[in-house]
Amino acid sequence: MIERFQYDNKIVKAFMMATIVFGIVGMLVGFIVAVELVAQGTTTDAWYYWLVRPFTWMNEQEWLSFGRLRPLHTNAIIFAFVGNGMFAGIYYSLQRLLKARMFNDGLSWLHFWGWQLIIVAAAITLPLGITTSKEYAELEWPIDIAITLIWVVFGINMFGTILKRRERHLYVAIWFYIATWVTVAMLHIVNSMAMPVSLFKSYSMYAGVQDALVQWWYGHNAVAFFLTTPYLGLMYYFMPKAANRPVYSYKLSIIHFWALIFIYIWAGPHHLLYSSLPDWAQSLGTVFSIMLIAPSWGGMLNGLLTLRGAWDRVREEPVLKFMVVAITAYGMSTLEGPLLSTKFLNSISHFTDWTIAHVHVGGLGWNGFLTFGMIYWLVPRMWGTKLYSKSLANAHFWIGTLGIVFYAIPLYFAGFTQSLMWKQFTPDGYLVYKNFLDTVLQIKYAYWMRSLGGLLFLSGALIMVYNVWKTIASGKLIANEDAEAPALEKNYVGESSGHWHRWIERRPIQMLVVSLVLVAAGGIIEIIPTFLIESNVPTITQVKPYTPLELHGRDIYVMEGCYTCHSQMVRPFRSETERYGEYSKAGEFIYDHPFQWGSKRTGPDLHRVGGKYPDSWHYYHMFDPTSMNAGSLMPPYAHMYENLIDKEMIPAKIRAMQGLGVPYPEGFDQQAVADLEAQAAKIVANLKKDGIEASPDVDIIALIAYLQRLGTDIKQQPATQVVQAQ
Amino acid sequence: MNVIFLLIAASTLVAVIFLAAFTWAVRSGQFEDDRSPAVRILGDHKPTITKTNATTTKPNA
Amino acid sequence: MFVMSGLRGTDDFCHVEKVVAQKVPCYHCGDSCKEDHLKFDGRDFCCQGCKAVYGLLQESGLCDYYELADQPGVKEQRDSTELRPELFELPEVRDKLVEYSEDGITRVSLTIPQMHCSSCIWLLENLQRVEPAIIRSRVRFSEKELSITFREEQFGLRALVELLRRIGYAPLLNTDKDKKARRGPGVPRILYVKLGIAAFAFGNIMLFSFPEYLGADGSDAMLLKGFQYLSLAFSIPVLLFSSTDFFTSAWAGIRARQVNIDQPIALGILALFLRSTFDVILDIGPGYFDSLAGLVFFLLVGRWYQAYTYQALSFDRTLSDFLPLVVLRRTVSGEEAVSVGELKEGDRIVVRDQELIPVDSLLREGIGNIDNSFITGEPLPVRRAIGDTIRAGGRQRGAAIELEVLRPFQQSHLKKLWEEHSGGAGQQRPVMPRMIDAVARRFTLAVILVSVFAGIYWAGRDASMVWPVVTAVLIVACPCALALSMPFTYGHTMRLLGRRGVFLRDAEVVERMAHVDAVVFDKTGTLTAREAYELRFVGVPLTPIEEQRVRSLARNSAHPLSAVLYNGSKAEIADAIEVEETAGQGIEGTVHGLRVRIGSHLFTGGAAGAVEQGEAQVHVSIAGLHRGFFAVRKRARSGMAAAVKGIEGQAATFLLTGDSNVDADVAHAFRAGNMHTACTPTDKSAFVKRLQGEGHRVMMVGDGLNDAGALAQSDVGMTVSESSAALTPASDAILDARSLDHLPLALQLTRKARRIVMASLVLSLMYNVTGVSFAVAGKLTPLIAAVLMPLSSVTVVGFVTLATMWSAHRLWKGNPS
Repeated sequence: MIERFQYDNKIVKAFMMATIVFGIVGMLVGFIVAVELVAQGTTTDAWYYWLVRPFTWMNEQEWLSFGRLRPLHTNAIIFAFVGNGMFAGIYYSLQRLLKARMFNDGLSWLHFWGWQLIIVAAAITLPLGITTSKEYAELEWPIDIAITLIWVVFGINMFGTILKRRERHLYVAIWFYIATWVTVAMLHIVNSMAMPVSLFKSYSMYAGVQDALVQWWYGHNAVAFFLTTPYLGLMYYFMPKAANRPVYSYKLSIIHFWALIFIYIWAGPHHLLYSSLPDWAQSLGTVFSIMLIAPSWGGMLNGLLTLRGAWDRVREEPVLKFMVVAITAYGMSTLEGPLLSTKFLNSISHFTDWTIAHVHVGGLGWNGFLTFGMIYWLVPRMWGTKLYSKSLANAHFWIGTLGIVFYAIPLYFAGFTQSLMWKQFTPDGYLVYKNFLDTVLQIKYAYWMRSLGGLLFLSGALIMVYNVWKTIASGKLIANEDAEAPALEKNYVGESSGHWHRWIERRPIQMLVVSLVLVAAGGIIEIIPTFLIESNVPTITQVKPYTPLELHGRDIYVMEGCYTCHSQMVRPFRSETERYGEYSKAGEFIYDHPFQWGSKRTGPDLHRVGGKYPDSWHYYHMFDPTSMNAGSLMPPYAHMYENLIDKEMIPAKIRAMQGLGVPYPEGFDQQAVADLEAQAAKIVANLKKDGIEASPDVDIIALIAYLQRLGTDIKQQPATQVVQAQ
Repeated sequence: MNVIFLLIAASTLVAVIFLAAFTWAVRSGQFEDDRSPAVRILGDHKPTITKTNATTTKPNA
Repeated sequence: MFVMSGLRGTDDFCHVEKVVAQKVPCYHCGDSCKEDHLKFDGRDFCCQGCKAVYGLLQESGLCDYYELADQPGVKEQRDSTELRPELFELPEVRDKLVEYSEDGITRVSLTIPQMHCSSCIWLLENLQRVEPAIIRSRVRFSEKELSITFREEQFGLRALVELLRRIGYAPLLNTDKDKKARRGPGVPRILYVKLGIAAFAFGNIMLFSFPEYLGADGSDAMLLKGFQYLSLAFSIPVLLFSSTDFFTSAWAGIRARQVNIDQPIALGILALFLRSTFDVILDIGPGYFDSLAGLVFFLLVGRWYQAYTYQALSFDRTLSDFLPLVVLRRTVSGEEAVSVGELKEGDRIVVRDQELIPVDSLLREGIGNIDNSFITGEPLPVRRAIGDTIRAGGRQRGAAIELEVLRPFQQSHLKKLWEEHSGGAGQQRPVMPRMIDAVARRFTLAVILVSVFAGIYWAGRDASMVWPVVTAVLIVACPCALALSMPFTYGHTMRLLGRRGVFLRDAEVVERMAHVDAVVFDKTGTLTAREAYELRFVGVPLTPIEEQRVRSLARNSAHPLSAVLYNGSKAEIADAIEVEETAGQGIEGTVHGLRVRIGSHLFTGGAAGAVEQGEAQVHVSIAGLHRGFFAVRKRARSGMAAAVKGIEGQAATFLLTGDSNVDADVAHAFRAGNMHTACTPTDKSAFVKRLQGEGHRVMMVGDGLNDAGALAQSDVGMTVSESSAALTPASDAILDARSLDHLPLALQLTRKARRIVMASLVLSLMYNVTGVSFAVAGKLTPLIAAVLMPLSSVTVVGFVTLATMWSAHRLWKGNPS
């Protein structure tokens, strides 16, 4: 019997507006950090001094410095821009693919407002330095919980809709959506495990190598299942719609999905090549990353070939232009990714701007352009009108494309150049560029061009905003779009292969839940032994927990986002041991909750910085880096010289650490503050020797303490013996 | 490296969920017809209240 | 040609369409339009029908139909009984189609051979926009099936069928499920599940094994142990669920005291599992679980491909396929439809143009022009006058006739014929040993011997090695590649032949064809076309104007020969007046002021010319003056001669025909001694049997029921068919009439395929030997096994695939047709 119902366009509009607004914000912040990164050293005699002054000024402010804004940028783009874009697309396509309104409007709006609230919370906490320092998972535990709840709301809404669908077949896009939901839920929960100290502070459940492994297993799959699978779903819906052609091969799309799902999940470890992760685990990551090329390219070709016989339309239809570039970008980065995960290329690319270029080809090209294409296609339809200006859309396209080029190409060069400079030796075996700064100054031009590229991309987006605004003005939102479809006939005759699974056929969700429960049980049985057996990370006897002062210093290091520019992972290359000292051992990180390996070196690695310079050097350097390093790009941290060490927190921190198994003696939390003051006094005394009058109660003292401790433990005795820690 | 167990448990869990989903999909004939669904998504149109109305609605116009 | 889409792969079909379109293609169907074709809002249309459909779609806002593919349309077909929509309302038919019907809502599932591209799907799934009474219409493209839910009280089944016909998608009348059942089974869903689980396990176990291979060190010992147990866990479903088929078939073999390829496989799988479990539990090593999962995965891929390459065609026939579902019985009140079975002696039935005569009967009204070519192989329709008996199985050509049933269907001539020839003829076919079985026999024996000897040898030296070595031997000896080579090679061959219009029942037929050394042809309908005629005028040549007169008059007659005349000439049409037809004699009328007669020599007052066999004569007189006659005869199929000559190189060729002599053009294609005329159906099968007696492997190529016996008797029975709907007896292969000239190459390809299989067997044996040598030496590490197995499978499959493609390519490139 035919049923009349209405598609909910209002919610789609809401998410679309959000994606536009936060897209602009995210890109703007991106532009700001890009300039902050390069502008710092600018001296008054430079002609553009006053041009960049606002940025350097921001960089000098406690809340707007690079280290704090960079996470804001990544989070805004991933969770606010792409996130909202994904939801807009899903809420639009899911209803139409299933011939049903969303399961429950209340849930839809709860999902919407909840998500926006989380984003706002992020926008507030990150500049305040409230962060876990785990990339793309920086948000502190209360927000993590909120995310989990909202994600569940989204899940109920989506599966509910699937249950009350009027179209029996689940189009391939829906499979991609489902995969996104299930996987992201799991990733988020596993990676966010932490021990709260206060409402705004927690320590990662895992330490050092293990934390790194979990983090990058998450980091990789976040890219896979938050930035890729949902957008593939959108591609498989909006591309055919825009081209008015069925997808090139539906069979291929199904294979694409299942292959991707079963391979992606394992490819995580490749982010840690040459790290202290066991060799085989690294190689494993590589193997599976390489295997990923096949399905990814299958998907890309499927997308592009959909346009067979319609290429002429690409010329006049901006929507298709955006999508073609997006899909091509997808192909490019899914080829580049696996290549970068091979040991050879990784040894060059890792820690350099190459990685940045790689992710931005994906981010700007794939996610950005697909979102734009989708918006240009949706707006006229949802407001029952025509696009205000095709030529503006084309302008946006070309400016945006130019932006991507200006962004990526220079950074590829930069990454390559810098990496080579790091590795360059004189004939008699010395580093050519002893001073790390030289390798940075060499590529400043690239940083400038990258900023320009970002600016172009941003202005393109602004053109879209205008175009969309005018389009909307010319039409009226079809808040509830009439639709009709017959209800599913109950007596569906599938292949009569027994009847036991008929029950399942009609109840996909129940079956999913049941299997989930079963497997969860199995999973627990698997996990339990891991918590019973002792850690088999080879540990080193001299490695001791951080003192309270160092611990606080470390928290400052985390808070300021030092990891965004400084790694703490000396890789086993001569070029690195030569420059930084002995390469990092897994055993050295067992008390690092969270790990601070970082993923990018705009500044030198700091794992062996302890004892390299006198306390006074750090004191001066943190106040004005250029005073120690002419032309340094590092921002000054004046506020550390005023902000007092929060001593009330110290006992709680110690207890939290003990809770995570860090072997502080029993009742140490009570002596902690005294211990802290004693160590602070020592440092102040040291500084006095160099004629510096410093207060023992300010953050900088703690930071110095931490920096001086870094990587020094194994220097205690030359011989290091490996044992199983208890 | 015992955390790997956690990751493998989690990953396997997800993988098995999808295996189950796959089994359901095949069993219920989701992938029986690998051509029509791709075409099906194309023409979602305004409901045809009357014939005349229908003539005015050209999908994907 | 459209019906052929049932046979051809849909894409090739679309391709065929484009080839057809030269000149101005019809916007709807793509056929080339005539100079004076129809134009409608800027589009060209070849005929009224196409234009009408376009109009209909345009009015329903369905013009996207033309967006999705170029000229997707399908021309409405004239012939075939399906064109009588009222039949769909008869209970016999309705019950077969209706899936359910409750309070006015009905769902029917129709078979629509014409659907071929995205546009078709799109249009057929949006029917509710053409007709509001339709609630939902869903296409099952793979089945060419359309399932429609509609409000029957508003819009009857008959109306629905008419609508479909109007837009060019006429549903088949006989969509009975048992027909589907007789098709190639296709891929059962369960196989996909098994495949999925095997693949899943394979992937994960591989993952869990990598650390071992990538040299995880002692510090990860605990981890590795965990991995090994996980692998064990994952391989259990593989053993218990995914690989069941191999065990069952192996067991079946044992029960039947036969050795088959699945026995060493099952043995290998078992060995793999037991050995691995043993190793893991006793902490000896990581086990071979990845090899196990991989092996089962590849084997299942083989199974899948085998099922995948079945033709979506029915090669078997039951008598009911040939009979009309219903016959119209004349009653006092009028006509009523009854099923053939119900006919009783004395009933009066009406048979219309192109319909089959279901029972032996007497002609009561009208002129019978009975085409018996299907049963007897007589080339031309025979004339029957009132009072003559007509035997079941013939086809009426021309105006409807009324018959009186002589005897009920059960005792009819047709039924007897059928039982004689088709009834269980399949059994007498000589069994041909399948290569794979022969190989399997030796192989299995070898494996067992090797493992036994290895065991004994090691028992002497180091007893602790016996178990590992023996299991190792069984593991690597597992003939995975061996089992894969055949389905893939023959599968590819079937697909390649299918593309060229030669459709084989299953992979076994490929091998049978490869052995063929004698090919026997039937003449009528096989080497000569069913409907194409050849005209030869004997007498004073006609001037163009006279030809015009003849054609114009012939146009007014329903007689098949008149139709032949009409179609045979290109002359302009003028209108004929005062036309009168004398039943059984001929037709006369005035064209351009002169009286023209065409018909028998008596009717036209001429003398009968020397009647050549297989010829009919249509005499012509203009203004009372006899001008001569047209000699009408069936034309031989294009490429017929080429085909026969082409085959002679590879196999002896013979011709059997029911006629008492052979048309010249067919004759000189064969050696004089190899032609046998005036053959009864029984002679034909006897002949085939004789050849087989002389040790020949015989392929029979025929088309009619009169060949049925021979087809069943031969080693490979191939029927020639002009359309999937045409009546062909049971066979191993169906040859698209237009692809007759591909036959020689098809034969060659099957032979090449057989050689390729042999080569691949050697290849895979080499792998096995290598593996076994490792095993016997007790050096088969899991890593070696894990590399060797997939490697062998992949290389063998790759080899046969490329080799088959390549040889097909060379064959058809070498001899373009």
